[in-house]
Amino acid sequence: MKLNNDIAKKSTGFVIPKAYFEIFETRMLKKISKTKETTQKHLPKNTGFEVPEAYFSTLEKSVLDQTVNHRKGKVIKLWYNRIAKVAAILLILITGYGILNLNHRVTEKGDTFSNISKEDLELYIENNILPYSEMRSLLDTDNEFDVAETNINELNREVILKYFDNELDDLDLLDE
Amino acid sequence: MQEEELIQLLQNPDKKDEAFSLLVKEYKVRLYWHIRNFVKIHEDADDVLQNVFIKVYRNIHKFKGESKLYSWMYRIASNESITFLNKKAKKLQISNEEIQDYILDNLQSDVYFEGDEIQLKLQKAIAKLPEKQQLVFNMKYFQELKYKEMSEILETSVGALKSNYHHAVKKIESYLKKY
Repeated sequence: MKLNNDIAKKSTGFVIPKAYFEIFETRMLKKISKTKETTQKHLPKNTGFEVPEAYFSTLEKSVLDQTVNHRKGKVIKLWYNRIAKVAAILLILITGYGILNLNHRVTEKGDTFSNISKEDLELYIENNILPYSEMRSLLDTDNEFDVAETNINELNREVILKYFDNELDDLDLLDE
Repeated sequence: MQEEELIQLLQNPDKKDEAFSLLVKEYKVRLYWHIRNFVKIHEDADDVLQNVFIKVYRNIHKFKGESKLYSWMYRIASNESITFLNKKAKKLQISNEEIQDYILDNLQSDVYFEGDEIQLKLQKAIAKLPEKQQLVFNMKYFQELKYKEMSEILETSVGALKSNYHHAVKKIESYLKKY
């Protein structure tokens, strides 16, 4: 008895689609069940939805790649993550130690805020920080010109009067 | 393999991967058709099914065995399908009701739909049903699940399910007579 393969080898020139015999049985059975259903039932039991060829065999691999195999792949990643975590902890410790050490050295020299006297602070503020009223007049740009002008006029009058009071004795010089 | 045995293996870290492979083999077809009946398009069903299995894999340790494993997975599949359709509707800026019509309008051009006129009409009639009745009808009519199984999956009494199915069939018949 000739095997199916032997028949196929006898060349007639006719060719068949790839895997035709592998899926023939399934297709045939499906067709038979479809015919039975449409003739036997009022409503079609078959939805009409089809699935791509070999879908379920590739699906399994796809799901396993995203779960089981994906997790296995991540083991290396976790290992790297662990190294990164250790490196971060070491960096924090080194930085922390550095800051503490520097602070300790500064304290030894006595240059901390607690060692600055009240007088020094007051002197610094007096010499370097503008009084509030002056700061306000500088910031208040809308009235800048008027305020400045008024102050200058008042200052001039005061200075002139003071000058005359102080220098009254020297007025004789004018007479001369 | 008994379900209890499979659950034990799935919850054992050393055997989990091997058991999960068995689980996929056992349930992939059933879950696929459950999802496909709901989302209609093969590519969408494929996406949802893979998400379902990923969720099962990640959450199997939380499964306490209060229900059957397949009920638990069907429940995840139902929820994932509904969520998927809602997201799709939002993306297309249409309502959750309109999405079913939108899918069915494009079904005829789908290469993976080979249904005839009556099958398409039936799908359109199902699409007109409320969400819960759609699930009940698909599970009873196409997947031929028992009311008891459906009751476990949908967490609804058998009486309520029978009533749901009855109403669904009446509505479908009425739609088919009308169109």
